[in-house]
Amino acid sequence: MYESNLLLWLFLIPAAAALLEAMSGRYRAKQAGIISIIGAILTLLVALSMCREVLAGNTLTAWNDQLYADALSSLMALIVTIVGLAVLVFSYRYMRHDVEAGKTTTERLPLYFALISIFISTMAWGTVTNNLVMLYVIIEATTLASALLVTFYWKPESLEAGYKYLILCSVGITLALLGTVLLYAAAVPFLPGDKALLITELVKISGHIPSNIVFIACGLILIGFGTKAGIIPFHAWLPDAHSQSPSPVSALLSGVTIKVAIYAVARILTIFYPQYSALATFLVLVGAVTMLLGIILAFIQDDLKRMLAYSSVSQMGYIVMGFGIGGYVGFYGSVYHMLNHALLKSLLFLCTGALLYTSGTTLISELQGKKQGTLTAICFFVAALAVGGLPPLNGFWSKFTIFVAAAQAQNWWAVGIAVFTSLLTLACLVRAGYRIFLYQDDHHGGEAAIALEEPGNAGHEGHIGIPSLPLSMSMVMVILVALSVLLGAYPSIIYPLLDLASKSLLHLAIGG
Amino acid sequence: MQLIIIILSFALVLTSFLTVESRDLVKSSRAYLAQALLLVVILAVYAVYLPNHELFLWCVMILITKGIMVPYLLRYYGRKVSRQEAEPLISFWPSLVIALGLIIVFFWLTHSNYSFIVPSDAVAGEPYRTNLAVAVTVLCLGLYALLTRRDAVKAVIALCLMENGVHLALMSLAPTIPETAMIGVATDVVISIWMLLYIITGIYSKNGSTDAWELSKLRG
Repeated sequence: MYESNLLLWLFLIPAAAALLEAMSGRYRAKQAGIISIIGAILTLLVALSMCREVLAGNTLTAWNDQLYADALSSLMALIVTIVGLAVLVFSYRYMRHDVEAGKTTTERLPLYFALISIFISTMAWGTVTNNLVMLYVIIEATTLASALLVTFYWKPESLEAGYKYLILCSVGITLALLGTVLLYAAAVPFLPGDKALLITELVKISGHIPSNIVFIACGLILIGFGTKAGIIPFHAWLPDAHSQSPSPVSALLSGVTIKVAIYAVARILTIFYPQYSALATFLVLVGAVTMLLGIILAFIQDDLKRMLAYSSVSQMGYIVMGFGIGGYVGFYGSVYHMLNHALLKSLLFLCTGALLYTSGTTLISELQGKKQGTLTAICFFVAALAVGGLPPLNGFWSKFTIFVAAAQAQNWWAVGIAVFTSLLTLACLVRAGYRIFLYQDDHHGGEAAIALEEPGNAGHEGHIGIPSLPLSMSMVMVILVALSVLLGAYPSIIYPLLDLASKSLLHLAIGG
Repeated sequence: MQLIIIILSFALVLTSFLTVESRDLVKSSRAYLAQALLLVVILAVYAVYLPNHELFLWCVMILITKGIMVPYLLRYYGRKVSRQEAEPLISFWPSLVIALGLIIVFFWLTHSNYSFIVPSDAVAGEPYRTNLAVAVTVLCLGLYALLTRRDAVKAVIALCLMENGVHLALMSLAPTIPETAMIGVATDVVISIWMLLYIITGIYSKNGSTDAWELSKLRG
């Protein structure tokens, strides 16, 4: 364990980029986004350096242990920075298209990119904080940083979504604060000074905290951070916020934000697993309910973004279930699924952005029968099949690990629900893909709905009548799909980091 | 001294009640301001009584954020929307009875079962017991208002009440909490209230109403 400034750079770089973006925006609004992208590239390099350090067996700390990074934190930082960079690059042309479409103005672009950078900064900070109360502060800060992104178009629907998002998450997080305060107050007699606030110190005295306090505090923390993570029944904000945000913001919300919240839950709750197995059982139950209801609600949606949002709720159920089952295999499955779902769901939302770019709608009934680009179709189907758990894609491996963990724990009902939900997910997303990309409409003379697109000709009509995607947007989608396929075909690439990340949680869970 | 704290605590509950039940948003905001100032006085009394001079820092923080900034935001944005609260789900008299019932039940439940929720022996007796009972009561009144009021501005005031309840518990149970965490908590509160009110005025300018139930364009 040693002091490292990497942990500071991880969130200070995007914060500085946001500041520069906002300050320079007044003079060079047309170039908005470049500073944020450079900041995101540097932040990704910091996250990669952190991963290299933890793979070498080190644990990083900073600010008198207020910041702490083990393999799990580094993996989360990697997820935040990869998706963050992808979203910023995708946004560069996407938002300019929105300006051309009259949805926003050039003058507002610096604000957009500055807010995205601040959002990335808060999430990155959340992954490395070791302070109970600061965890609350940062999770609330992620909400505050993203609220104006949800309402960015300033339409009645987006304002409603932003209002719901802010009020529900703020109420939830207020309860989480009460939970963290109870834990802190209970830990103070056993830990001197500020140490009672440190999660890594709390692990050592978890057995001394009265059981009543543990259950009340963990319940409040689960409600609070669980609201942000979209766990049913606290998910009401999620479909609205995801559907009304600009598509790249939806990708960030669904791909990363909800993962950071569930990471916070896992970090705190697993501390008490050795003494209170009921907590773990409760998480399995919450996970099962969330995954099943989430996918049932996804099935009845016509808006593709709402469908994907409910699918995210459902996929969070898998992650929660894995954390609940616990043990090395359960934690491994959850952590692996966090990575896979972050890549896949952000890809799916970016595909939705591409559809909005080319067709101007996200309603499946309106997209049905319209010609769509081949690249978007391929990316959508790969991601849909992977989220649905089709072997040998990456989504299959992480879900399969969770199934195995549930079976090893002889939680057969959980296995049943997880497998059934996986089949429903596959059916739901493939059905949506079929209707959007393959459905042959009689009005179009029986032509297939997929058409070739020529990257690089932004805004121009392709030779067969659909606008082409800009190269930067296409490249982002290709890279994300390539990463997903690579993780499915060669899971050993990421195994060392996942292995250490799972052991980090196990270390907490065995009271180490 | 304990008597003073108990009197101030009950005054705090009374201001919560007035904040929830007043249908005029300006009066409701004023009741909230009174509560914020009471919080400051309670903290100052604690700081002298315990004695714990770190609590004076909390006093200043609460005065700036809850006593000045949040009331200013409520007043500034309140002028841009209708002064009268949108019709709540429960009419005046039944709501009054329910709120009174909640006050009695939650205060009694927390006060009589304090040993169940007390986190450590250091905060086992009075005045912590009364303080936490008041904090839980204020929190529950805020939650009640949030669930039964259709007006978006009133929902924000209800959220402020909930935050006051939690912060009272925080100051009572964890008075030695580091300044950085304290500043972080206070900053989050002010920014979240500002953003909510900013968005609500946007909603009002588009819809001509702050009735959250009239929004409901997003379903399913």
